[in-house]
Amino acid sequence: MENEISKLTLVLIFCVSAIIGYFIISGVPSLLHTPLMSGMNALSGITILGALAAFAGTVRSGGRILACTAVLAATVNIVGGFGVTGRMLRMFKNTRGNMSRAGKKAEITNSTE
Amino acid sequence: MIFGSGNLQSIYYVSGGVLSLSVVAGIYLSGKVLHAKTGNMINSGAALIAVILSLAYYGIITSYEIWISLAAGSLLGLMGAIKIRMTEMPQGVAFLNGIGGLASSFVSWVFISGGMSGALSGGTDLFTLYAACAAFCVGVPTFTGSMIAAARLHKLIPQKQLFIKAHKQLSALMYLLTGILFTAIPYYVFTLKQTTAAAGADLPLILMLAALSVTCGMAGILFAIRIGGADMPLCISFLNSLSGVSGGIAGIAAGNILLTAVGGIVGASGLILTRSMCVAMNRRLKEILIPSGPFASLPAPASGSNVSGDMENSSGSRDAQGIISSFDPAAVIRVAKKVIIVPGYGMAQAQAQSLVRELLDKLEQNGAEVIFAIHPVAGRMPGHMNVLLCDADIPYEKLRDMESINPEFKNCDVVIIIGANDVVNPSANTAKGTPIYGMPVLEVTAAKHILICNYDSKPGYAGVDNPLYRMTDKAVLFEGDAKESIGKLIRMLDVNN
Repeated sequence: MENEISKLTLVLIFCVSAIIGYFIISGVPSLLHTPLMSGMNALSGITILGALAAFAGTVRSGGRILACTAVLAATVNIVGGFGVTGRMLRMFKNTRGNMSRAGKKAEITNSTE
Repeated sequence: MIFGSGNLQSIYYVSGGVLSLSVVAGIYLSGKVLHAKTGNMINSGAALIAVILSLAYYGIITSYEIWISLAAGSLLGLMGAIKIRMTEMPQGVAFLNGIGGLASSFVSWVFISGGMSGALSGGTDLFTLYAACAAFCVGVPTFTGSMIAAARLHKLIPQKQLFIKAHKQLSALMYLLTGILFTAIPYYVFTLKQTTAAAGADLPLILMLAALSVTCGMAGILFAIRIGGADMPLCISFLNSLSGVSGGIAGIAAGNILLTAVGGIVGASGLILTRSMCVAMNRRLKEILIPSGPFASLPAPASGSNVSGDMENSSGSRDAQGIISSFDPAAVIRVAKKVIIVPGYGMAQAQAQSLVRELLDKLEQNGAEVIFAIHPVAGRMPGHMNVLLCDADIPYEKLRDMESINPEFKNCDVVIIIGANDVVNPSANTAKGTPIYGMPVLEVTAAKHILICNYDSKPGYAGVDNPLYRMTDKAVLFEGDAKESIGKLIRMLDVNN
C-alpha cells in the first residue's frame, strides 16, 4: 500500500482542479460556450479509465459485463463529444477565411473583448 | 491481481499528472477562439493516451471484450458526431452527457458490488466504498435527468415544464431515501467483506443498489421534468457539471489521478456556465435545486399590469402586407449605415439561418455595417446561437455578446429582431414583479428604428407583454414565419439596386 496514492491526495487533486477549472473557464467568451461545453462533456467521458480499472479488478462475470458496458458508453461519450466539438470549431470562420495568424489576432481583439 | 508493482505504477502516476496538466492546457486553449481547435486536439489526444496507458497498466490490453466495446463505442460516437445537425446540438450534448453519467454509475456499481480484488487501490476500504456510492448517487440522476432533457429538446415530450402534484414532497422523499441507502450500502458491503470472502453475488446488496438506482434516478427525473424548453440552457449546464462531479468521485474511488482532476475541472466549468445562465435568465441556482414550486412559476400576463397592452388597437393600422407601421421600413433599411441583427430561438425554429446570411450580404452590398447581438440565452444551450450562425457561414467576429454590444445600440440606425422576444423586452428594466424584472436585456430601444420579425405579437416565454410592439414611431412588426419576413426585407433591399 505504501506505493499507493493516498485518498486524501486524490480529494485534494479534485478540489485543486475544480479551482483551476473555475479560473480557466471564467475567461472563456460566450462565443465559445457551446463548443466548450461539448468539449467538457467529451472529457467527462474519461470515466472510461474507471471502467477499465473496474474491468481489471472485478472477479465476477456480471461485473465484467457491467464494466464493458461502461467502456462502451464512455467511448461513445468521448468519441462523439470530441467529434462534434471539432466539427463546431471548424465552422468558426472569420470574414477573410484563412488569414495569416497576425491578421487573425487583430480581428479577434475586436470581436471578443 | 497486482497492478504496477514498482516502476510501472510510478510511471502510471507520473503520466497521470502530466496528462492532467496537458488537459488543463488544452482547456485553456479551448477558450481562445484562434486556438480552440488545437485545444480540442490536445484534449482528445490526452484521452487517447490515457486509455492506452490504462490498458497496459491494468494488464487488460489483450482482453477482447474491451477492444470490442472500444470499437463499438467509437463507431457509434463517430456516426453520431457526423450525422448530428447544428440545431440538434443541445439534445446531442445532453444525450452524450447522460451516457457519460451512465458509464460513471456502472463503474461505481462494479466498485461497490463487483467483488473487487483487494489490490486495486485498496478497493475494500470504507472510504473507497463511500466514494463509489457517492459517484453512483450523482451518476444515475445525471443519466435520467439528461435523457429527459434530451427528449424534451428533441420534442419527444412536451416543451412545457411539468409540475406534478406533491412534486416537492416526492422529491424530498427521494432525496431522503437516497440518503439512507447511501449511508447504509457502503457500510453493509464493508461488514460483509470482513466476515465473508468477496466472491459470490450478494442478493440483499443487489436489491439495495437497485433501490438506490430507483430513488436517485427518480430524483433526476423529478428535477428535469419541471424545467421547460426555454430554460434548457440552465438544465444542460447543470447536468454537465454533475457528470463531471460523478466522474471525479469515481476517480477518487478508482485511485486515478487523471479521472479525478478532469472530473473536478468539468464540474467547475459546468457550475460556472450554470451560474452565468442563471444571471442571464434572472434565476437563482437555489430555484433549480430545491423544487419550491413549478420552476419558473410565471404569473399570468395580466399581472404585469403596468405593461398591459392593447394589441387590438395597434393591429388596426396594418397595411396590405400585414405590417404595422408608422414609417416606411423599406426607406429606412435602404439608407441604414449601421445595422444590428438580434437573432432569437424563433430564427432557429424557422430554420432561417441561411436567409439571415443572405440578408447580411444584401445589407453589406448596400454599404451598411452589420453586426449581430447575441443574448447569453438565445438558443437552447449556452452559446448555441453563435454555433447556428457560424454554421450559416456568418463570420464569428460579427457575433457580439450582450455586454459589448449594448453601448452600440444608440449609434445604430436599424435593429432587426428575428424571433427574439424576452431578451429584448424593455419591461425587464421597469416592470417590477414580473419574472423578467432585473434580467439583463439587449437595449434595442436606444436604436433609431426597430424592425421585428416575430411570429406574432404575443408575449414571449416569460409571459410578459413586450412594449416594443407598441412603439409604432420607431418599431415595425413583420408578423408570420421568419423566413417570409426576412424575404420581405431582402426584396426591399433588392428594389434599391
